[in-house]
Amino acid sequence: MTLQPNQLRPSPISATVDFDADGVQHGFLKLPISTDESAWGAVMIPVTVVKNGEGPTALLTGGNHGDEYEGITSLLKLSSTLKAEDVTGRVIIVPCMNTPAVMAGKRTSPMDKGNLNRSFPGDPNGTVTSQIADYFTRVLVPMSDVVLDLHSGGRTLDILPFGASHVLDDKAQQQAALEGAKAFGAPYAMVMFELDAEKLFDTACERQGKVFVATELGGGGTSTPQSIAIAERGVRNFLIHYGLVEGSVEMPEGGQMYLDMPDASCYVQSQHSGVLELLVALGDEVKKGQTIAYATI
Amino acid sequence: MTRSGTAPVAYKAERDGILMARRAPSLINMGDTLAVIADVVERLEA
Ligand SMILES: [Zn+2]
Repeated sequence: MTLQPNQLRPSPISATVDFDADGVQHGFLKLPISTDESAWGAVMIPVTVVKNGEGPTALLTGGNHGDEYEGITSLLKLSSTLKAEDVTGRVIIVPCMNTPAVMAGKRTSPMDKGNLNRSFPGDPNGTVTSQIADYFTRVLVPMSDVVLDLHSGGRTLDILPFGASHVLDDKAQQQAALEGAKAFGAPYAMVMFELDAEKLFDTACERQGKVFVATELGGGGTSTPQSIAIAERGVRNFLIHYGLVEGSVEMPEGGQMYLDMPDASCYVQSQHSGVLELLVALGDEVKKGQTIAYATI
Repeated sequence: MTRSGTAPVAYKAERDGILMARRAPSLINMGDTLAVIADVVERLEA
Protein backbone atom coordinates (compact mmCIF):
# COMPACT_ATOMS: atom_id res chain seq x y z
CA MET A 1 0.00 0.00 0.00
CA THR A 2 1.32 3.42 -0.93
CA LEU A 3 0.24 6.36 1.19
CA GLN A 4 -0.04 9.84 -0.22
CA PRO A 5 1.61 12.67 1.77
CA ASN A 6 -0.76 13.71 4.61
CA GLN A 7 -2.74 10.50 4.18
CA LEU A 8 -3.15 8.52 7.42
CA ARG A 9 -2.28 4.85 7.48
CA PRO A 10 -5.08 2.49 8.58
CA SER A 11 -5.61 2.14 12.32
CA PRO A 12 -3.24 -0.35 13.97
CA ILE A 13 -6.23 -1.60 16.00
CA SER A 14 -7.95 -4.79 14.79
CA ALA A 15 -11.31 -6.10 16.00
CA THR A 16 -11.91 -9.76 16.88
CA VAL A 17 -15.61 -9.29 16.11
CA ASP A 18 -17.32 -9.01 12.71
CA PHE A 19 -19.36 -5.80 12.81
CA ASP A 20 -21.50 -6.99 9.87
CA ALA A 21 -22.53 -10.36 11.33
CA ASP A 22 -25.97 -10.91 12.85
CA GLY A 23 -26.17 -12.19 16.42
CA VAL A 24 -24.31 -11.39 19.64
CA GLN A 25 -20.51 -11.26 19.62
CA HIS A 26 -18.15 -10.48 22.49
CA GLY A 27 -14.55 -9.71 21.63
CA PHE A 28 -11.81 -7.14 21.72
CA LEU A 29 -10.36 -4.20 19.91
CA LYS A 30 -6.65 -5.12 19.90
CA LEU A 31 -3.93 -2.49 19.79
CA PRO A 32 -0.37 -3.88 19.46
CA ILE A 33 2.04 -2.53 22.07
CA SER A 34 5.58 -3.40 23.05
CA THR A 35 6.49 -2.78 26.69
CA ASP A 36 8.89 -3.99 29.39
CA GLU A 37 6.20 -6.40 30.56
CA SER A 38 5.15 -7.65 27.12
CA ALA A 39 7.40 -7.29 24.09
CA TRP A 40 4.74 -8.46 21.65
CA GLY A 41 1.65 -7.44 23.59
CA ALA A 42 -1.66 -5.76 22.99
CA VAL A 43 -4.07 -3.41 24.71
CA MET A 44 -7.35 -5.36 24.77
CA ILE A 45 -10.47 -3.16 24.71
CA PRO A 46 -13.66 -5.20 25.29
CA VAL A 47 -16.39 -4.79 22.69
CA THR A 48 -19.82 -6.35 22.21
CA VAL A 49 -21.79 -6.21 18.97
CA VAL A 50 -25.49 -7.08 18.92
CA LYS A 51 -26.95 -7.06 15.40
CA ASN A 52 -30.28 -8.11 14.01
CA GLY A 53 -31.06 -7.30 10.38
CA GLU A 54 -31.22 -3.86 8.88
CA GLY A 55 -31.64 -0.72 10.96
CA PRO A 56 -29.73 2.07 12.60
CA THR A 57 -26.44 1.60 14.44
CA ALA A 58 -26.07 2.86 18.01
CA LEU A 59 -22.61 3.18 19.57
CA LEU A 60 -22.74 3.04 23.40
CA THR A 61 -19.56 4.04 25.22
CA GLY A 62 -18.39 4.15 28.84
CA GLY A 63 -14.99 4.44 30.47
CA ASN A 64 -13.88 7.26 28.20
CA HIS A 65 -12.59 8.42 31.59
CA GLY A 66 -11.53 5.47 33.73
CA ASP A 67 -12.97 6.65 37.07
CA GLU A 68 -16.57 7.30 35.94
CA TYR A 69 -18.51 4.24 36.96
CA GLU A 70 -22.13 4.59 35.85
CA GLY A 71 -21.25 4.05 32.19
CA ILE A 72 -18.71 1.31 32.86
CA THR A 73 -21.10 -0.58 35.15
CA SER A 74 -24.32 -0.21 33.17
CA LEU A 75 -22.74 -1.05 29.80
CA LEU A 76 -20.81 -4.08 31.11
CA LYS A 77 -24.13 -5.35 32.49
CA LEU A 78 -25.99 -4.59 29.24
CA SER A 79 -23.34 -6.45 27.24
CA SER A 80 -24.21 -9.65 29.10
CA THR A 81 -27.99 -9.29 28.79
CA LEU A 82 -28.86 -7.68 25.43
CA LYS A 83 -30.14 -10.28 22.97
CA ALA A 84 -30.13 -10.07 19.19
CA GLU A 85 -33.88 -10.65 18.99
CA ASP A 86 -34.42 -7.56 21.19
CA VAL A 87 -32.65 -5.33 18.64
CA THR A 88 -33.54 -3.88 15.25
CA GLY A 89 -30.28 -2.81 13.63
CA ARG A 90 -26.96 -2.86 15.45
CA VAL A 91 -25.78 -1.93 18.94
CA ILE A 92 -22.02 -1.60 19.47
CA ILE A 93 -21.09 -1.53 23.16
CA VAL A 94 -17.67 -0.38 24.37
CA PRO A 95 -17.97 -0.16 28.19
CA CYS A 96 -14.28 0.69 28.79
CA MET A 97 -13.11 2.92 25.94
CA ASN A 98 -9.84 3.77 27.67
CA THR A 99 -9.31 0.27 29.12
CA PRO A 100 -5.86 1.01 30.65
CA ALA A 101 -7.39 3.98 32.54
CA VAL A 102 -10.36 1.89 33.69
CA MET A 103 -8.05 -0.85 34.98
CA ALA A 104 -6.09 1.78 36.93
CA GLY A 105 -9.29 3.45 38.23
CA LYS A 106 -8.06 6.79 36.90
CA ARG A 107 -9.28 9.48 34.57
CA THR A 108 -6.21 9.14 32.36
CA SER A 109 -4.18 6.22 31.03
CA PRO A 110 -1.22 4.96 33.08
CA MET A 111 0.48 4.07 29.77
CA ASP A 112 0.92 7.61 28.49
CA LYS A 113 -1.01 9.88 30.89
CA GLY A 114 -3.45 10.33 28.01
CA ASN A 115 -6.91 11.80 28.65
CA LEU A 116 -8.88 10.02 25.91
CA ASN A 117 -11.56 12.72 25.81
CA ARG A 118 -8.86 15.31 25.08
CA SER A 119 -7.17 13.17 22.41
CA PHE A 120 -9.58 13.35 19.47
CA PRO A 121 -9.52 13.06 16.52
CA GLY A 122 -6.44 11.01 17.40
CA ASP A 123 -3.45 9.73 15.46
CA PRO A 124 -2.65 6.18 14.20
CA ASN A 125 1.04 6.90 14.91
CA GLY A 126 0.49 8.67 18.22
CA THR A 127 0.46 7.49 21.84
CA VAL A 128 -1.70 4.53 22.91
CA THR A 129 -4.52 6.88 23.94
CA SER A 130 -4.29 8.81 20.68
CA GLN A 131 -4.37 5.56 18.70
CA ILE A 132 -7.56 4.52 20.53
CA ALA A 133 -9.13 7.90 19.71
CA ASP A 134 -8.18 7.52 16.05
CA TYR A 135 -9.86 4.09 15.85
CA PHE A 136 -13.11 5.54 17.13
CA THR A 137 -12.89 8.54 14.79
CA ARG A 138 -12.15 6.57 11.62
CA VAL A 139 -13.73 3.15 12.22
CA LEU A 140 -16.50 3.02 14.85
CA VAL A 141 -18.04 6.48 14.50
CA PRO A 142 -18.45 6.23 10.69
CA MET A 143 -20.39 2.95 11.24
CA SER A 144 -22.76 4.64 13.68
CA ASP A 145 -25.87 6.76 13.38
CA VAL A 146 -26.32 7.69 17.05
CA VAL A 147 -23.71 7.77 19.81
CA LEU A 148 -24.27 7.76 23.59
CA ASP A 149 -21.15 8.52 25.65
CA LEU A 150 -21.71 7.98 29.37
CA HIS A 151 -19.67 10.22 31.67
CA SER A 152 -19.85 11.04 35.36
CA GLY A 153 -17.86 13.43 37.50
CA GLY A 154 -14.98 11.10 38.26
CA ARG A 155 -12.97 11.35 41.44
CA THR A 156 -12.73 15.16 41.46
CA LEU A 157 -16.28 16.24 40.58
CA ASP A 158 -19.82 15.51 41.68
CA ILE A 159 -22.46 16.38 39.06
CA LEU A 160 -26.27 16.38 38.84
CA PRO A 161 -27.56 13.55 36.63
CA PHE A 162 -28.33 14.81 33.12
CA GLY A 163 -28.39 13.96 29.43
CA ALA A 164 -26.69 16.64 27.34
CA SER A 165 -26.39 17.92 23.81
CA HIS A 166 -24.50 20.88 22.33
CA VAL A 167 -25.25 23.93 20.21
CA LEU A 168 -24.41 22.96 16.60
CA ASP A 169 -24.39 24.75 13.25
CA ASP A 170 -26.67 22.08 11.76
CA LYS A 171 -29.96 22.72 13.56
CA ALA A 172 -31.55 19.42 12.47
CA GLN A 173 -28.59 17.54 13.95
CA GLN A 174 -28.79 19.68 17.10
CA GLN A 175 -32.53 19.01 17.44
CA ALA A 176 -32.08 15.24 17.03
CA ALA A 177 -29.39 15.19 19.75
CA LEU A 178 -31.42 17.43 22.08
CA GLU A 179 -34.41 15.10 21.78
CA GLY A 180 -32.12 12.18 22.64
CA ALA A 181 -30.68 14.03 25.63
CA LYS A 182 -34.23 14.57 26.93
CA ALA A 183 -35.34 11.01 26.11
CA PHE A 184 -32.41 9.59 28.10
CA GLY A 185 -34.79 10.42 30.92
CA ALA A 186 -32.40 11.62 33.63
CA PRO A 187 -33.83 14.07 36.18
CA TYR A 188 -32.13 16.90 34.21
CA ALA A 189 -31.57 17.61 30.52
CA MET A 190 -28.97 20.13 29.47
CA VAL A 191 -27.45 22.10 26.62
CA MET A 192 -23.81 22.07 27.59
CA PHE A 193 -21.07 24.66 27.15
CA GLU A 194 -17.64 22.97 27.02
CA LEU A 195 -14.51 24.75 28.25
CA ASP A 196 -12.61 23.53 25.16
CA ALA A 197 -14.54 21.32 22.75
CA GLU A 198 -11.89 20.89 20.05
CA LYS A 199 -10.40 17.56 21.17
CA LEU A 200 -13.54 15.91 22.61
CA PHE A 201 -15.07 12.64 21.37
CA ASP A 202 -18.28 14.68 21.19
CA THR A 203 -16.81 16.98 18.55
CA ALA A 204 -15.30 14.11 16.53
CA CYS A 205 -18.78 12.55 16.31
CA GLU A 206 -20.64 15.79 15.65
CA ARG A 207 -18.26 16.75 12.81
CA GLN A 208 -19.22 13.51 11.04
CA GLY A 209 -22.87 14.56 11.29
CA LYS A 210 -23.68 11.94 13.93
CA VAL A 211 -26.34 12.39 16.60
CA PHE A 212 -24.33 12.57 19.81
CA VAL A 213 -25.66 12.51 23.38
CA ALA A 214 -23.44 12.72 26.44
CA THR A 215 -24.31 12.32 30.10
CA GLU A 216 -23.02 13.28 33.51
CA LEU A 217 -24.36 11.00 36.24
CA GLY A 218 -22.81 11.65 39.63
CA GLY A 219 -19.15 11.32 40.49
CA GLY A 220 -16.71 11.18 43.35
CA GLY A 221 -15.08 8.05 41.91
CA THR A 222 -18.01 5.78 42.77
CA SER A 223 -21.67 5.11 41.94
CA THR A 224 -24.91 4.96 43.93
CA PRO A 225 -28.07 2.84 43.55
CA GLN A 226 -29.80 5.96 42.23
CA SER A 227 -27.11 6.84 39.68
CA ILE A 228 -26.89 3.27 38.33
CA ALA A 229 -30.69 3.13 38.02
CA ILE A 230 -30.67 6.40 36.05
CA ALA A 231 -27.89 5.09 33.78
CA GLU A 232 -29.60 1.76 33.08
CA ARG A 233 -32.99 3.32 32.42
CA GLY A 234 -31.30 5.99 30.27
CA VAL A 235 -29.47 3.52 28.03
CA ARG A 236 -32.70 1.62 27.50
CA ASN A 237 -34.59 4.86 26.79
CA PHE A 238 -31.90 5.91 24.30
CA LEU A 239 -32.21 2.64 22.37
CA ILE A 240 -36.01 2.87 22.38
CA HIS A 241 -36.01 6.55 21.34
CA TYR A 242 -33.84 5.89 18.27
CA GLY A 243 -35.80 2.78 17.24
CA LEU A 244 -33.28 0.04 18.10
CA VAL A 245 -35.34 -1.57 20.85
CA GLU A 246 -39.11 -1.75 21.26
CA GLY A 247 -40.85 -0.30 24.30
CA SER A 248 -41.79 3.06 25.71
CA VAL A 249 -39.45 5.68 27.11
CA GLU A 250 -39.72 6.04 30.90
CA MET A 251 -39.34 9.57 32.20
CA PRO A 252 -38.53 10.47 35.84
CA GLU A 253 -41.54 10.53 38.16
CA GLY A 254 -41.01 14.08 39.33
CA GLY A 255 -40.62 15.37 35.78
CA GLN A 256 -37.48 16.63 34.10
CA MET A 257 -35.79 19.98 34.73
CA TYR A 258 -34.13 21.76 31.80
CA LEU A 259 -30.74 23.39 32.24
CA ASP A 260 -28.77 25.70 29.97
CA MET A 261 -25.11 26.77 30.11
CA PRO A 262 -24.84 29.87 27.95
CA ASP A 263 -21.14 30.68 28.46
CA ALA A 264 -17.98 30.32 30.55
CA SER A 265 -19.38 32.42 33.42
CA CYS A 266 -21.10 29.20 34.57
CA TYR A 267 -17.70 27.94 35.77
CA VAL A 268 -16.34 29.12 39.14
CA GLN A 269 -12.61 28.38 39.18
CA SER A 270 -10.11 28.62 41.99
CA GLN A 271 -7.46 31.32 42.23
CA HIS A 272 -6.08 29.89 45.49
CA SER A 273 -4.61 26.73 46.92
CA GLY A 274 -6.24 25.60 50.15
CA VAL A 275 -9.31 23.93 51.62
CA LEU A 276 -12.68 24.25 49.91
CA GLU A 277 -15.92 24.90 51.82
CA LEU A 278 -18.99 24.89 49.57
CA LEU A 279 -21.95 26.79 51.06
CA VAL A 280 -24.57 25.30 48.71
CA ALA A 281 -25.44 21.72 47.79
CA LEU A 282 -25.95 20.19 44.35
CA GLY A 283 -29.29 21.30 42.94
CA ASP A 284 -29.57 24.34 45.27
CA GLU A 285 -30.65 27.66 43.78
CA VAL A 286 -28.04 30.42 43.76
CA LYS A 287 -28.23 34.14 42.97
CA LYS A 288 -25.72 36.28 41.10
CA GLY A 289 -23.29 37.79 43.63
CA GLN A 290 -24.08 35.18 46.30
CA THR A 291 -21.09 33.76 48.15
CA ILE A 292 -21.19 30.06 47.28
CA ALA A 293 -17.80 28.87 48.57
CA TYR A 294 -14.87 29.73 50.79
CA ALA A 295 -11.26 28.87 50.17
CA THR A 296 -9.35 28.67 53.45
CA ILE A 297 -5.80 29.37 52.32
CA MET B 1 -3.82 25.92 55.53
CA THR B 2 -0.19 26.86 55.92
CA ARG B 3 -0.77 29.52 58.65
CA SER B 4 -3.51 30.43 61.16
CA GLY B 5 -5.14 33.84 61.51
CA THR B 6 -5.99 34.25 57.80
CA ALA B 7 -9.63 34.89 56.86
CA PRO B 8 -11.12 32.64 54.13
CA VAL B 9 -11.53 33.96 50.58
CA ALA B 10 -15.12 34.16 49.31
CA TYR B 11 -16.12 32.89 45.86
CA LYS B 12 -19.30 34.37 44.41
CA ALA B 13 -21.72 33.19 41.74
CA GLU B 14 -21.45 35.21 38.55
CA ARG B 15 -25.00 34.31 37.50
CA ASP B 16 -28.37 33.11 38.77
CA GLY B 17 -29.08 29.39 38.51
CA ILE B 18 -28.62 26.11 40.35
CA LEU B 19 -25.46 24.35 41.49
CA MET B 20 -25.01 21.80 38.70
CA ALA B 21 -21.54 20.49 39.60
CA ARG B 22 -19.12 20.80 42.48
CA ARG B 23 -15.57 19.77 43.17
CA ALA B 24 -15.49 16.55 45.22
CA PRO B 25 -12.14 16.66 47.10
CA SER B 26 -11.81 19.45 49.65
CA LEU B 27 -8.18 20.16 48.81
CA ILE B 28 -7.99 22.68 45.99
CA ASN B 29 -5.33 24.20 43.77
CA MET B 30 -5.31 27.22 41.51
CA GLY B 31 -7.40 26.69 38.38
CA ASP B 32 -9.59 23.92 39.78
CA THR B 33 -13.29 24.14 38.93
CA LEU B 34 -14.98 24.57 42.34
CA ALA B 35 -18.57 24.91 41.15
CA VAL B 36 -20.63 25.08 37.98
CA ILE B 37 -23.88 27.04 37.86
CA ALA B 38 -26.48 26.31 35.19
CA ASP B 39 -29.55 28.32 34.19
CA VAL B 40 -32.91 26.71 34.86
CA VAL B 41 -35.04 27.21 31.73
CA GLU B 42 -38.68 26.51 30.90
CA ARG B 43 -37.92 25.06 27.49
CA LEU B 44 -34.91 23.67 25.66
CA GLU B 45 -35.02 24.11 21.91
CA ALA B 46 -32.51 23.82 19.09
ZN1 LIG C 1 -15.74 11.97 31.75
